[in-house]
Amino acid sequence: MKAARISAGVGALLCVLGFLLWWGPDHVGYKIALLGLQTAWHASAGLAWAGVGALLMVFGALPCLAGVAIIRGLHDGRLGRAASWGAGLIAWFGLFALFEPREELGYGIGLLLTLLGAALAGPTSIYVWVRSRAARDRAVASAKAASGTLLVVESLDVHYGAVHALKGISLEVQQGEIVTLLGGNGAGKTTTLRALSGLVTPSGGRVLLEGREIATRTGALPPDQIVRLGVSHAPEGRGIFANLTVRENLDLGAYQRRDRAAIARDLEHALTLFPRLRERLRQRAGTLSGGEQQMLAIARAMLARPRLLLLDEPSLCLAPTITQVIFQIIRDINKEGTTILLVEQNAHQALKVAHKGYVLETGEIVMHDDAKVLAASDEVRKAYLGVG
Amino acid sequence: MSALLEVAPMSLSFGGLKAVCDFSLELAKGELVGLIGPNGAGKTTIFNLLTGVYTPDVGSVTLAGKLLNHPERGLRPFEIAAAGMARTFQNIRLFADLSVLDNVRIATHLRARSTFWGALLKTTAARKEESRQRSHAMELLDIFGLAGRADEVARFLPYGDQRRLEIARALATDPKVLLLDEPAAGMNPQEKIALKGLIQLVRERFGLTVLLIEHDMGLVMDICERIVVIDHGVVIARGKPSEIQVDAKVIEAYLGAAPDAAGEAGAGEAGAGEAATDSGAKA
Ligand SMILES: Nc1ncnc2c1ncn2[C@@H]1O[C@H](COP(=O)(O)OP(=O)(O)OP(=O)(O)O)[C@@H](O)[C@H]1O
Ligand SMILES: Nc1ncnc2c1ncn2[C@@H]1O[C@H](COP(=O)(O)OP(=O)(O)O)[C@@H](O)[C@H]1O
Ligand SMILES: [Mg+2]
Ligand SMILES: [Mg+2]
Repeated sequence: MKAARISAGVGALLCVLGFLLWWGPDHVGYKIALLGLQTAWHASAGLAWAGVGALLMVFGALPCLAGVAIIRGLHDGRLGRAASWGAGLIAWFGLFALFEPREELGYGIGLLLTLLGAALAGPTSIYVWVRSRAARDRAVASAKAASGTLLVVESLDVHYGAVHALKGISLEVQQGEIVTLLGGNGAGKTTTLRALSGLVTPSGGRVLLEGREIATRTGALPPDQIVRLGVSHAPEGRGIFANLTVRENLDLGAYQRRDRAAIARDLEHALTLFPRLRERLRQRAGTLSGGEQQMLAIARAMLARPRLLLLDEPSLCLAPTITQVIFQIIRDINKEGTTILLVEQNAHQALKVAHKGYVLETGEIVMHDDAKVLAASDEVRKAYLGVG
Repeated sequence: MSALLEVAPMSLSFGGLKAVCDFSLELAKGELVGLIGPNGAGKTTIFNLLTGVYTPDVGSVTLAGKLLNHPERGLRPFEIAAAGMARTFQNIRLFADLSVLDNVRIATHLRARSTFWGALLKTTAARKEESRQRSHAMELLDIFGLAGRADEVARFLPYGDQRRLEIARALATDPKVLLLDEPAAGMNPQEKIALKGLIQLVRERFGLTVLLIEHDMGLVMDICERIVVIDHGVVIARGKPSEIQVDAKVIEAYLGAAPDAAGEAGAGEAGAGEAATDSGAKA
């Protein structure tokens, strides 16, 4: 995308240069007026551009370049705009070439540069257009999915060598839900989350995010792409970068985001929730206390602004009061629209905040139901709530 | 003095941060004492001071009359371990790529009676020693329900099993004092109940004195005979579990009657903390 942007820019620049050369040093006022006109068009709606393109074609201006102007009319984006600047200028050139052909010095060079610019700007804007259409399709698909199922796990198997850690588990997470995964030590909870974020490849079954396959037995999307699709994982053992500062760790949480203002707001929010982190922004993360590191891991996962947040034992090593804060945060970010899959040993609290829960035993789902129903079930109370 | 472990008021700063401030402690043989406090209060730092990872700015640690840590005359960590101080780590630090059994066996070497030449030449004595170590290691793994996983690579164990392995490894050094840093983290209530039994079992069987850091109040209040509470590096309370549970300062700084009390508490309590230290020392 960056290369496309540069090439569109260079194309436009060449076009301007060619245009000026062809017109010679006089007529400066006229040229400025033309550029002004161009800008005015530019600022107007996409439809106007489509009109210009059509008009230019009628006048016999280089038809393919006029086509680009039409593209600009169809697609409204920063890159398309840069490309269309180049294309538009070329079109102007074509138009005036029609009325006032000149044979002086500069004509050849001007034409050459203009064509070169066209060659760069044209394909680039087409590329940009195709890309943006794909992005729009995806956005439409996700908007459709927004009303329904976010995550589907279909008879997922995971092997570690000879160890069969997940034995065909299936589960579903709806948009906007908090789902908790309960189970004893070694049941496969961590493995499930690792499979969802691309850290292990399943040996069978598949994982669908909004209908799109992100992991099958033939391979999983790499973790960074899954992050880009909106899945953020706060792993067991935290996975913070010990040699970076607290601030740098937090910045990494938001690395795939571009909305600077919103990032700053979210950072401020996270630091208000965890005042200790604000005091320690410049401390090396590895020297934080265990609980402070846990706060950092959660804050970092929040900064990714995921659509699906995977939390592996967020209350680990946290003092009772901070544990309360964590569960409140889980509720809050869920209210703001984040879907959460929560692995938690504090089954009491987990079942209180969750909408529904799955119980995992040695790699198999043995129960799933509404959180309230699970919390009342004798088996769950005995095995995971330490009651009776 | 009948105390097994004595800590003379000890302090440590990191740059401008007073992580531990005038911390004193006496443990009688066989006691099980809890060390609690908010995140970042200085609990793990105290363990690091007891085991020689850090040298105190002032103060000292004495175990059974032997000086272990001191601003000038401290022993090195492995010497302190050999003197009978063992610990587990809050951020698990197993030998990740070794087998479960080897993790424990390495620790038993601290007490090995074999010599370098003996081990090299595989003398009968050395071989006997090795098989003794091996069976001791297996016995420990068995206590913690890990015997069946003895040959697995430690890093691949589920988190809760790694915690238990940490305790088994600490016990393999045959310690007098066992320092447990959040042993129950990552266990569900059922597993915590089992752990509680295990701690009491090994304590009796190996005649241990235990200092326990833990955020699970159910566990702490249940098995500790005494509790020391610190906040911002300062002791704010000492006493029996029943006293600690109703202590206003502890509730405000740590237990949290009302949520959100954690953040601001403690800053103005240095004076009160010292008073508590004094009364604790007299008692
Ligand atoms: N090497 C270090 N350099 C700078 N600061 C440190 C270092 N080690 C610890 N700290 C700070 O000292 C304070 C005490 O840390 P410590 O690890 O002892 O806390 P803790 O009581 O064990 O907390 P938790 O319950 O979260 O584990 C923390 O604020 C921590 O950030
Ligand atoms: N990298 C690995 N290699 C081999 N076995 C593993 C690995 N990771 C996990 N396991 C095994 O898979 C099972 C499930 O582990 P895990 O998902 O960590 O459980 P949980 O998070 O529910 O405690 C356990 O038996 C564990 O030993
Ligand atoms: Mg786990
Ligand atoms: Mg700690």
